[in-house]
Parts: sequence; C-alpha cells; structure tokens
Amino acid sequence: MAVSTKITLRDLSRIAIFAAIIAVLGTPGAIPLPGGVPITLQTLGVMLAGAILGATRGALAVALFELLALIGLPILSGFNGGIAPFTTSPSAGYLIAWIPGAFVVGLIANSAKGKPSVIRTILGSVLGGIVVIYAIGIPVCAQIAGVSLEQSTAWATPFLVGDSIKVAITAIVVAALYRAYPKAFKN
Amino acid sequence: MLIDLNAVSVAFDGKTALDGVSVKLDQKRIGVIGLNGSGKSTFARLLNGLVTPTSGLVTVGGINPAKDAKAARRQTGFIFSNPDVQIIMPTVLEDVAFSLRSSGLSTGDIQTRALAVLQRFKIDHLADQAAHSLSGGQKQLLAISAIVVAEPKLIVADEPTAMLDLTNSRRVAEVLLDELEQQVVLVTHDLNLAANCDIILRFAGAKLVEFGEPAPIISAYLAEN
Amino acid sequence: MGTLFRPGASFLHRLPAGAKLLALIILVTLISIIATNPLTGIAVLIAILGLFTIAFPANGPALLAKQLWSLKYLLAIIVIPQLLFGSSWPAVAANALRLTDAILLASLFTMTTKNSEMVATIERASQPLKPLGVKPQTLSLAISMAINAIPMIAKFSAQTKEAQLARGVKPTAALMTVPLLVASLKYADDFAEALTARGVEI
Ligand SMILES: Nc1ncnc2c1ncn2[C@@H]1O[C@H](COP(=O)(O)OP(=O)(O)OP(=O)(O)O)[C@@H](O)[C@H]1O
Ligand SMILES: [Mg+2]
Repeated sequence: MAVSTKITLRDLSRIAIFAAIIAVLGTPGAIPLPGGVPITLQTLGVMLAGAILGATRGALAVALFELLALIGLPILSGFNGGIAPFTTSPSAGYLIAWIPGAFVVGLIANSAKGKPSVIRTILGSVLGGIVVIYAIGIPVCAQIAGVSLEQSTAWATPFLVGDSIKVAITAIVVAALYRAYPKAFKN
Repeated sequence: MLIDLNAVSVAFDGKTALDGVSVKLDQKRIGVIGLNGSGKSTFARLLNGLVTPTSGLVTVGGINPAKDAKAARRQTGFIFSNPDVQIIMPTVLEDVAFSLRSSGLSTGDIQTRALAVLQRFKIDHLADQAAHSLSGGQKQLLAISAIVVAEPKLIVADEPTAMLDLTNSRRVAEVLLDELEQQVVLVTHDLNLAANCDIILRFAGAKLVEFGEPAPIISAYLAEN
Repeated sequence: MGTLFRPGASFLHRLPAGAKLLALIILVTLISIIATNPLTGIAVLIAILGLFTIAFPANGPALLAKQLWSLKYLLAIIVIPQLLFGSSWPAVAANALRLTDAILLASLFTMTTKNSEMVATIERASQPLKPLGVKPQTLSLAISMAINAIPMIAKFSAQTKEAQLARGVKPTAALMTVPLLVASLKYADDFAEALTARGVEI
C-alpha cells in the first residue's frame, strides 16, 4: 500500500512544493466555461500529485494548496481565492473533490514501488482525476446552483475533453519523469 | 572544538564517497578543497549527521552525530550553496526568528535577538522584506544570520560563495573567515579563500590525500590537476 | 504575490475570524431559506451593499460592483439555460440572486480577514486533530513553506520556458512539466536537507 502514516521532513517539503506547483499551474489563462468552472492545468496538478507523491502525500499536497486559497491567496484559476469558491460557488464540490481525487489517483497509480506503470497511471488518473471529481462535483453543483442533475451534468460534459487530455499528459509526464529523475518515486 | 574522524568510510548504494578518512582538527578556520565528486560535501555532511558513516567513527566536540543528530545540529550550523533552499519563512526577520522558535525565549526576546544579528551583518534594513526578493548575496547573509542567531559552536559552509558574484562572495567570505567567532569549516573551489584558512584538507577520489598548511597543499593541487 | 485581503479599520475587520465565519455560515443558511423570491433577494443584496460600505467607507460600492462583475459568466450560465428551458422569470431571478448574495458575503469575509488571522483560526481549528498526529505548528510551517515556494516554482517555470524557446522548441504543457517537476522535486529534497540541518522537527 502507498499509504504511510509518518510524515517526514522530506515528505513535508514535497507536499509544500507540490502545493506550490499546483498554484503555478493555475496561473496561465483561465477560460471560464459552462457552470462557471474554469479550465486550467490545476487538475493536471491534482493527477500528478497523486501519481508522483502517492495517495496520502498527494492528497495532502492538494489540501495544502486549497488551504492557501482558502486563507485568501488568489491562486485558484482566474486569480480566485477565499472561502467563496469552497462554500457558496457552484464549483465548490469539484474543488473539494480534488482531495479524495488525488488520493484515489495515488492509490491506483502509485501503489507499486519503483517503475510506474502506464496502465495504472491512466487508470488512476481516470478514476481519481475524473470519476471521483465529477461524482462529487456534479451533484454539489446542482444543489448550490439550484438546477437539475441533468443540467449540472450537461455543464460538466465539455470538460471531459480537457480532462482526458490531462490524463494523457499525466501518463507521458510520469513515464518521462521516471527516466529523468527516478528519485522522485523513491520514498 | 575537536573534530575527530577515525577510519571513516561512506558508501551510497555501494558506491564509495569517502574512503577510510582519519583526521583530528581543532583549528578555527578549516578549508576543504578537491575536484568535483572527490568527497568534500560528504565530509561536511558527516559533521552534523546529514550523512552517517558506513564504517568508522565521527565525533564533534565529543558528540557522535550519527547517534545524537539533535545535539549535533544544535552545536553545528550548516550553510549550503543555494541560498534559496535555506529560506523557510516569508520575510527576513521571520526567517531568522524561526531558528529560535523552540528556544523557550519570549516572542519579544526572539525578535530582539533576530534583529541584532541582522544588524551585525548589516542587513537589518531588509528585516521586513520578502526573503525571496533578496539578491543572492543578501540571501546568503540571511542564511548565515539564521544560523548564527542559534549560537552554534561550529559552522560548516559547503561552497557558500558558489552562486555569488565577486562582491557578494567577498562579503560572505569576510563574514565567514574574519568576522565569526565560531570555528568554521569552509568547503570551496575558490583557492584564494582556502589560502586564508589555518589548515586545509584536500580530497581526491574519496580519500583525504593531504592536510596541513595551505600554501604547499594548494601548490601541489595546482600542479597535479 | 498578492492577497485578497483589503486593509481597513471597520468593525468587520476587527471581528475575530472565528466569529465572523460563524456569522457567515448562519447568514448564508438564512439567505437560502428566506430568499425565495426576487424581492427578498434584492433586499439582501442591498443589505450586503450596506456591509461593504461599512467595511470600506471609501469605495465599498465600487468593490461590490467589481465582485458582481466577476460573477458575470457564472450568472449568465445559470440564468440563460433555465430561461430557455421554460422556468419562470421570478424563480430564475430568485435563484441567481440567492447565489450572488451568498458569494458576495463569502467574498466580504475574505476581503476583511488577514491571511495570518485565517492561519491562526485554522491552527486553532486543527487542535482537535492533535491526537491524530497533526501538529498545529507543522501545519503553519507547511503553509509558510508553500507560500515561499510559489515564487520559486514560478521562476523554475519561466526558466524552463526560456530554455525551451532558446533551443527552438515550442513549450507545451507536457514538454514543460517534466523539467519543471525535476527542478521542483530536487529543490524539495535540498530544502528538506536544509530543514534537517537547521534542526527542524515536526
Ligand atoms: N546522496 C547521495 N547519493 C548517492 N551518491 C552520492 C550522494 N552524495 C554524494 N554521492 C556521490 O559521492 C561522491 C562524492 O560526492 P560529494 O558530494 O561528497 O563530492 P564533492 O567533493 O562535494 O563534489 P562537488 O565539488 O561536485 O560538490 C560522488 O561520486 C557523488 O556522486
Ligand atoms: Mg559538494
């Protein structure tokens, strides 16, 4: 199992640096699309966090990133931050789902020590990075926006294109990173 | 303080980084030179337990860093080449104060001491600045301040001037070699700096090949390479 | 890097973050119960305008307008399809107003609460997690480290982009991410070593 309980200084450092990576991935052009859920590379960061750091540390990195946004740093897409995106905004469910999403990515993609497998990375990113996030995000969006589940699902559908591309990028990046810096996958 | 290495070897994944080093040092300014990969950093890291010997024994001031890393780190401060990695807190003063956070001092005392150290190295005008906005030389002086404030007995600096320009290198070298009252171990590729030490150690191929008076060792080093 | 906090001397600024958070939760819940028609929605909006003016006497209404403007896409997306699919005007307007009111209140909270106060509140809120091994001190250390790391990572990202352009490569997400990750993870490991050398314990 990739789940470890004791956090070392090295873990803490990687968690903090990954939180910062997710923040930086959110800076280039945010394009607001249906549902007010803007497209950025931040969900790529969520998939990578799980796939590279593993379930626990990956989820903690995403949680730390969100904590920074929550305390008022404008690091969510479109220079957003504060408590509104996590509470009163229709995309709140998606954001919160990033945490269990990264966990599931890590559980599947990062469960074997050593060389990461392409199949597992893809499977993990699809299940954790798409299925988990949509499963939580869609109903919460319907609830907050006061619309039907069908409507909320329709809003989410166009994002599948971008998210599928991110799954592919995750698989490519993870394989390349293993060759460039295998230490990244050592505990 | 006596730095004592007795037949110390270090291997990483079966590869030898340091091979049978024995030496006793109590000089105030200790220079370390040698080619890339010769084992200098490994030697430096042994002194505060960042690296532990595969065989042999290290003691610094009677403490074995492999056994009691906590005590070793309290008595030995470490400066890295890259000042960026040494900054922990957002602003200059906060970063220096951070070193004292488990000292048991009151917040007021911590602030006073941190500020005094910044004044000493003439960077107190930067106290409230974002640490990452500083120049490389200022960051390195900040790193030194953050170490000195905790009052270690020994300061180990691993190529502290490697990323600095001429004037900043000079300033940092001046602080390390002339101003600090502590014992200093200085790993450097700058032979002019090494020449100003009381003793130098030369590493080659994971071995301590010679140590003693700087001038002849530097000449031999230059002749050999 | 900026923050969404805007300095001021109002009582909203001085209210402890915890109390303010509780008030926000109660208000948002109330709004979702009472704002069932457009009129109450507008009444609440006017009350919020009052709060913005109390918090920022100089430019409260302008700040509120700015926040409203940033909600334009969201509102368009919520309102238009509902109208197209035949919901009644008042119901759609009430729904949009309820959402707007809640988001504006939450933004006001963030605009009047310092980051450091939020951190302190989070630390206090994490006290009950202590038995699970979550130390409040570690949490604030992690927050500081991450805030510090953002400009570093941004620098790595800019350097990676420049290096690829210099080699005549068009920097794409996949191409840029690998060197960015290598630089960042190496930085993380060096940083951990420096923390260890400084005797930091978590
Ligand atoms: N953590 C490590 N893991 C594996 N190998 C290591 C590690 N640290 C050092 N080495 C290896 O040990 C040898 C000695 O390295 P060391 O860093 O001590 O050299 P150095 O003299 O400081 O070199 P430089 O001048 O390049 O800094 C090198 O071959 C290096 O690759
Ligand atoms: Mg070295």
